[in-house]
Amino acid sequence: MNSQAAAMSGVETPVGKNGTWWFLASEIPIFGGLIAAYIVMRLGSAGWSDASSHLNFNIALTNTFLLLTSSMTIVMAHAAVQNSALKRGANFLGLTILLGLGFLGMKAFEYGTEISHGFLPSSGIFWSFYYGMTGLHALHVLAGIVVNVVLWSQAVKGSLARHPHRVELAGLYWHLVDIIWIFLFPLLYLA
Amino acid sequence: MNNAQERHYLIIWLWLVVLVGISVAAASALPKIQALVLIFSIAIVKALLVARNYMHLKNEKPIYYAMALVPLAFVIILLLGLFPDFVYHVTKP
Amino acid sequence: MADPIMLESSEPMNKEITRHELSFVRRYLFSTDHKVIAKQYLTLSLFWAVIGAATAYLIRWQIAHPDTEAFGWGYIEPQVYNSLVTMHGTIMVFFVAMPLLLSVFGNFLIPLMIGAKDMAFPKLNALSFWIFLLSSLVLFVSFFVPGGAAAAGWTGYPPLSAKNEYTGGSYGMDLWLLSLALEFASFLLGGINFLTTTMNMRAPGLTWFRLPVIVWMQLTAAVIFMLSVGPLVAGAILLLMDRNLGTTFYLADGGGDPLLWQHLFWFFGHPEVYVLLLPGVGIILEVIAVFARKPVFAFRPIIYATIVAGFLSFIVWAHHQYISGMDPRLAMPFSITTIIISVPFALIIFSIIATLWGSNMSLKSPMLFALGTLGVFIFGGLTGIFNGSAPVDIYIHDTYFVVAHFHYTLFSNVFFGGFAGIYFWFPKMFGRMMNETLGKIHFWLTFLFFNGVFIPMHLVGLRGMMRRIANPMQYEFLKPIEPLNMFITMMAILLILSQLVFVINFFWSLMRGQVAEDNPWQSNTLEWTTSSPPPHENFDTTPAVYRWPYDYSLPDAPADWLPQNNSDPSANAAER
Repeated sequence: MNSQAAAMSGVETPVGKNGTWWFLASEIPIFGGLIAAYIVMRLGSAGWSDASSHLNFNIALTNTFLLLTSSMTIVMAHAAVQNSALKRGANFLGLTILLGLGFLGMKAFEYGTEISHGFLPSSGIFWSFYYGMTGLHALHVLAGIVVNVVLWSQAVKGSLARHPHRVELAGLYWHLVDIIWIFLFPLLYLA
Repeated sequence: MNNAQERHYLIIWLWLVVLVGISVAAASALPKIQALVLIFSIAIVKALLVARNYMHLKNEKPIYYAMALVPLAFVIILLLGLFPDFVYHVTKP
Repeated sequence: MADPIMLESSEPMNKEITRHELSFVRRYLFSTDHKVIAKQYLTLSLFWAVIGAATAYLIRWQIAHPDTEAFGWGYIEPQVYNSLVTMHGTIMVFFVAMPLLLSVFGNFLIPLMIGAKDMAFPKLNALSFWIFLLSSLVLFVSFFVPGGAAAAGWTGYPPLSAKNEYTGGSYGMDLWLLSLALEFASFLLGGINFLTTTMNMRAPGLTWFRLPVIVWMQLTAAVIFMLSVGPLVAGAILLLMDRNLGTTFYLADGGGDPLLWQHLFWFFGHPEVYVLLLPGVGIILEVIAVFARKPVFAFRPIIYATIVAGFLSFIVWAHHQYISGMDPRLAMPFSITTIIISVPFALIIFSIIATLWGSNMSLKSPMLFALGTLGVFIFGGLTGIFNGSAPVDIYIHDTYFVVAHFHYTLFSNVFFGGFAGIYFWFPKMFGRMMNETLGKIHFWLTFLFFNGVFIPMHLVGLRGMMRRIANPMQYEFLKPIEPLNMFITMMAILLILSQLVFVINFFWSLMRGQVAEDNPWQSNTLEWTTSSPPPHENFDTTPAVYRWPYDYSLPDAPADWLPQNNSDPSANAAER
């Protein structure tokens, strides 16, 4: 972080948080555009219920819990690091990473079974949207996991003490990814 | 180790879990339209819980709300703009 | 070792400060200094401008002398023509206009104008450039892959863009999509930098309403871009899936709809033109204030109007789609919003004119280009009203009338505005003055030939000539306008050749231009309070700001200009 920025901050909020929020603001229309397209095409269609009935509801429900819980663990990590409890922070970060990997693992398994049943992106427009939306989301989960791993290793080594606020920033991104899933789950699996 | 903070986050988590449960129940228990309305209202509530508590929006300056809400508003405008062509099918046979 | 007095904060010594010890590679290629990054963008965008001009030359040749061998190139096949038209638009919008207006001027000016040492995230800034360079490479390579460059128009409508057999291309289209995706990432990161830097790093005393107008314009453009590009990114992902994974989002035979792409594209595409327009307006306002020696008229209303226009830009997009087959009930609401958006821009234009009114104008080259931008843009804005009204647009859509319209609005901001900015800030960037005589020649030739190209183009469009056709002579009804097309082509060639004056001036001045003082134009903004070019970290000490940037020709002031860091209490500020 630019130290002049820290010294001269016109607003009390540090640069990193501002930058991260602007980044999140730019991510919202990306998923928003995709979801809006899905919503209108589904509403204008016969309903796509036949296709969506082939989704594995239980896996998705499990994934929802995994992601929700990881949202909690990452903010706990932030609280711990803020109170200089680096080891506790590292542990919570580690939990977050494991939960995220669990999400991706389940997703991969889910894709695997769907593909083996012959449901590909080209199998119809519902599937096209399903793979597109969950695929893009999964890529974002992966990116978040990478960031979390970097921070976790810094927490373990102790170098995170120099910039503890980064856990909060990583958390903000991670929560966005969780919020997107909060909407994807009902849109795809409950509708 | 701030137990009050952690307890707060845990309570939010419990609410999130409960809300997921209600959504799932609604999907099978209620008729289609009511179920959808309830489920998506709950989704909004869940998003707000995460945003206000985990992302600390309730303690932040209003500008951050704006950074989240303004893009959302534009997405909704896009959504509404797409309705005539894709939901109402006026131009299709 | 750096002189400790030069360091404002107590940050530890690092390699960045001892710049003279850095290797060429660290100092010029991988620099994190915003001024160097701005020059990197300038180099790349001028390179692309040459290629964009070459595509324009070939397009015009083909139209005026269809199916003959273009001088210096050879025969232009129809599929190649489609690629040329596509790449001309893509290059000019995304690889010339965006980097020149936003990245060059935004990167160079924002930290300087707010009294900061650099951007908030210098490494991210460097990364933004390198991603942009990568996207440039991808686009450049697309010319040489089998099947050639993308050929579905800069708007990439499916099914033409979704199915290779329709354009005869293949990898070119995927590379086009990849290149744009990278470019969007680059500009998103850049925008984050602009916004955070300005929010957090303004010098003491520099309140929001004491910022120069151009900073407001750059920020609004950054926000508009940031919020509008998302749906197109989504749409591009869907198009990539259609092209490569067998999905049918945009293909009717699979249950999809090509119209979906159009909506997603134009939802971004329309705000994008304001992303391009606002920095141009910012540049000319700065230049005009300085060379008219007058405060910017209605400074705050201009800023409010800009923000309002920014919001409105998100609800006019379907005026690009009146005859696309979309729901006809959308035509009226979008016509209304399109007419409404002309109001804030009219306010801005009238304010610029009011700034000029009664002033003692100094017609140096930057000013000539600024005035040229204004005149040309007004003309383009007026034809926009015809395009924006559905009943008229039904007749002129997809004709050369539209092409003439957007060249008036775009070329004015990108080239006239860009040149105004380059001539104005060249001394600050490079420490030398550009040659004034060559500048004037460059302006008058460009102005003359530009109008020579595009005024007749309105007529060509009204006569019914369609866009993107490779051979107008196939159509009986277009044969009478062949002389007009030949005239336009001749003017276009002369327009392109006139730019040589600029190229000569630019390079000659870089090497042999008169050495520039700190503030050759006697301008009030903060970048002129430091040396030309500024040192690394810009200012010896962080300036303190006491007034807005436009205290020119105050009645009771000691001079006709008062820099922002001037604290003379006897000079009453004119800010309001």
